[in-house]
Amino acid sequence: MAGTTNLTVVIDLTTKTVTLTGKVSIRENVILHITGYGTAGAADLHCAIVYDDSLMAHLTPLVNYTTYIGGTLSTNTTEIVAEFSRKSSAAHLRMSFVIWDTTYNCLLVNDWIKVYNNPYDPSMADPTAVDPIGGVEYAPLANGVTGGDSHTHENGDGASLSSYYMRRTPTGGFFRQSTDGNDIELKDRILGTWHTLLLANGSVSVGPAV
Amino acid sequence: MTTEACTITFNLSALTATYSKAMAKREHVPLVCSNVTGYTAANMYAKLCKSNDGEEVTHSHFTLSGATFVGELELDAAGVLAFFETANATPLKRLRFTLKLYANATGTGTPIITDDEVYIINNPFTSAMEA
Repeated sequence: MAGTTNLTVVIDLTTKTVTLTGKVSIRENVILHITGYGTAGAADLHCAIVYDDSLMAHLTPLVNYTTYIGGTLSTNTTEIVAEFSRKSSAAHLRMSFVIWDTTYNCLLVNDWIKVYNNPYDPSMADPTAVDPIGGVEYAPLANGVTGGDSHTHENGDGASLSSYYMRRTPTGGFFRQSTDGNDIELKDRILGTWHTLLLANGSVSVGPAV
Repeated sequence: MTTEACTITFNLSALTATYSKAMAKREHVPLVCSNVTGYTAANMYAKLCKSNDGEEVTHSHFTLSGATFVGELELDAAGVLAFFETANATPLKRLRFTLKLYANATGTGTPIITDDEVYIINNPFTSAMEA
């Protein structure tokens, strides 16, 4: 079984830094006691240890307690254990300790954390692969339209495409979609009547007024 | 719950910019213009530029919201990420940008507010971390 350790985490939101009290090693269950998270919601948060652009440990969601938020972050992952392969038993690595708010695309913390080696004992559980960040898309790349431009949707958010952008008869137009959606109809510019456009046996014609 | 991202407030009377906290790469940063008398929301344009060559990396327009104008600066724009990439930034590296506010819709001419000291913290998130 993995060992258990406690880590007290005090966030400084102004600088996105953190004060950590506790010593974290690999192959542990790290019980987090986090304060200073402001108005962020525990359910929106991801706590992670990152090293060399890879997730080493990851916990989400966090849990609300009366005066703090927390949860148990496993450092018994194949990724973090592999980083300590062939290192001395007293070795430590400086990794990034981060807390992300994936709902609001916000970084609460990005600071250093020292992670220590943990000499293997046969009674320890085998490490498991770290859980990737799933079910959300944290701060996706802005679209390529204008590099982060913000726009108001014409006719308001949620405007019906069929009402505004694929309307049956374009304003002032001389063509439209038939009522059943299967044909194109043309407007006689003299008579103002609508006729179905027909292609049959290689010849184009129009039907009677509809 | 609400965002704990930095809010940038432009005071259009005093022509100042204030920052509520640090900013990080990939964040969506709310922008607010206060004391807007004499200005039109649709004409406001905030521009974030690289500090070294002044090239724009992202920008925001504004819309009217009560007595203020509001916008959003998307620090996940390709230009922002590329600047960090080019700088080969370490995980906790801060890079300096220049933020300017223009009173015309195209972000050209002379800005009404220029702040030379906008630092953005690196963010170790990569899309490879997503399932």
